[in-house]
Amino acid sequence: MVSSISDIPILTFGLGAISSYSILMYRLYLTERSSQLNDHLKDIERLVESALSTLGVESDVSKEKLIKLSWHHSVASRTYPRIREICHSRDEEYEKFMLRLFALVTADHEDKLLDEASKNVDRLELRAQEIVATSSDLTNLLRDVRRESLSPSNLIRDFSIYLKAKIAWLYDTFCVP
Amino acid sequence: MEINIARDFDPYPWGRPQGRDFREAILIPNLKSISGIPGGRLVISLDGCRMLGSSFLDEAFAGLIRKRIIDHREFDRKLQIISESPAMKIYLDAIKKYVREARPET
Repeated sequence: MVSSISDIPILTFGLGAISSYSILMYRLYLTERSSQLNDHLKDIERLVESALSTLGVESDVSKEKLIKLSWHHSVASRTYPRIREICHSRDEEYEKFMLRLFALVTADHEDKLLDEASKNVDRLELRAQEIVATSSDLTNLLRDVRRESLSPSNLIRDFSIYLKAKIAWLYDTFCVP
Repeated sequence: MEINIARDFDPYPWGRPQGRDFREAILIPNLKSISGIPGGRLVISLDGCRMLGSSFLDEAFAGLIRKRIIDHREFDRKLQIISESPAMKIYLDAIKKYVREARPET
């Protein structure tokens, strides 16, 4: 409570400092989010390269190549829950493309999960085309999300969510015994 | 009852034949053993798996529906698939999708 006129500049200064700090932290949060999207795009690119090299060896896929492919898939999947959150209203699209890519890069040859793909060369080409098409859809979606997340309405929405989370955290940390 | 795929089966579960083996050797006997227990539930943990293939997951879990071992409702009631790692979330979503889309074979 303001007890005298001399407290007003202190109060204004305090509020200004808190606002500046919140905006600075929010900028860091946006940068971090953008970096996560960029890293995810690179991980998908590496996964696709690895999957295409595995397809190149046709029927006798070596254990080493499978492990490498699986490792690339694990890396791309590690941020899956976080990227789903970032995709917000487009999370179902993201899930659909990621699960499709998962099936395309890890399913057995001639697998029912792969529709038309199988061991012979024509079908392998078809599978490679599907991998490239799905990864391209996924990449375009993530680029759209990155662009849309910087629109004024989304920035305001995200800032209000961010602020509410920080206020809740401050309340829990300092006010709840 | 909890089964950990990496510990009790293979840390590298991959491919439809392995999915079939897991279903036949682990899932079905354990589902039978809990069938007499009221509220009995089989918890399957994915933690520790080094690589998971989509064919394995489809054959092991959606295969239960296709082979008429259990129906969708029983699947939800008797099986719980878990993981503490965020990296495994995609596999949990994949299993949900494969099971949802599975239809009993005629």
